[in-house]
Amino acid sequence: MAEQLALVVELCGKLAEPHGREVTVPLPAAGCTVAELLVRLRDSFPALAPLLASGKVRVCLNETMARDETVVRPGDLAALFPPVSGG
Amino acid sequence: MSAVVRLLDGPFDPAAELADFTALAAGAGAIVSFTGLARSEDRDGMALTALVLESYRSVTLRSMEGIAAAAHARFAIAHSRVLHRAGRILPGEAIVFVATAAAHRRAAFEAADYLMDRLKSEAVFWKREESVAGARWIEPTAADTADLARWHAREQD
Repeated sequence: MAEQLALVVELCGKLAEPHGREVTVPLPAAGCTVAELLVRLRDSFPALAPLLASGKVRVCLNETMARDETVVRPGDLAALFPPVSGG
Repeated sequence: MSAVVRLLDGPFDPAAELADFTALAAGAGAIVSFTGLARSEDRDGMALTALVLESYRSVTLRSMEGIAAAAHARFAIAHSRVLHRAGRILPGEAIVFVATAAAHRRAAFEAADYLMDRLKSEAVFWKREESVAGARWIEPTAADTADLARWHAREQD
């Protein structure tokens, strides 16, 4: 079985309400895609699932917006962005 | 040409910013400015104690800089200034300040309008209203989305 490491994911805006500002998810040492990360988050934190189901949550990796196919690795600076609202 | 973008974690004076911008833009024929203020009541008339704006590291500032650069690419403006607060903002305090300077008024008006529409819906902030009844997250409204769509529609003309 592949070695399991972990990723700390910062939760921005209303996403912080169910579990606080950050959560830790297990991640293979080789990483996984952003799309797979979202599935892992839904599985590990069911209270986040309804918020992620909107399809409007974006993933930010190392201060850059990531695509579904981007690979996220343990140690990356990861954050989930709900829809933004400024002004 | 100048495009100044600042992310602030404390109060600022919009009148002083406009005076400074006006001095910087000497020679321009038109200056337009907009100041967005924290409201004292929510949409249901409940008294608000604060508006809290979360931001995210360099990503928030980069999103603001990208919007300002797009305004300069799109409109014939010579100068722009975009200031945006983050953190806890009290009713009556300024949240956002936008100023544009151009040779003629149309470009200055349109660029300021464009900057605000994009800041409302695309700049990386999360906004919540706090009242004695609790806190409520604010997301872009249908009106905000429609305001933004005006500019995308014109791009396709």
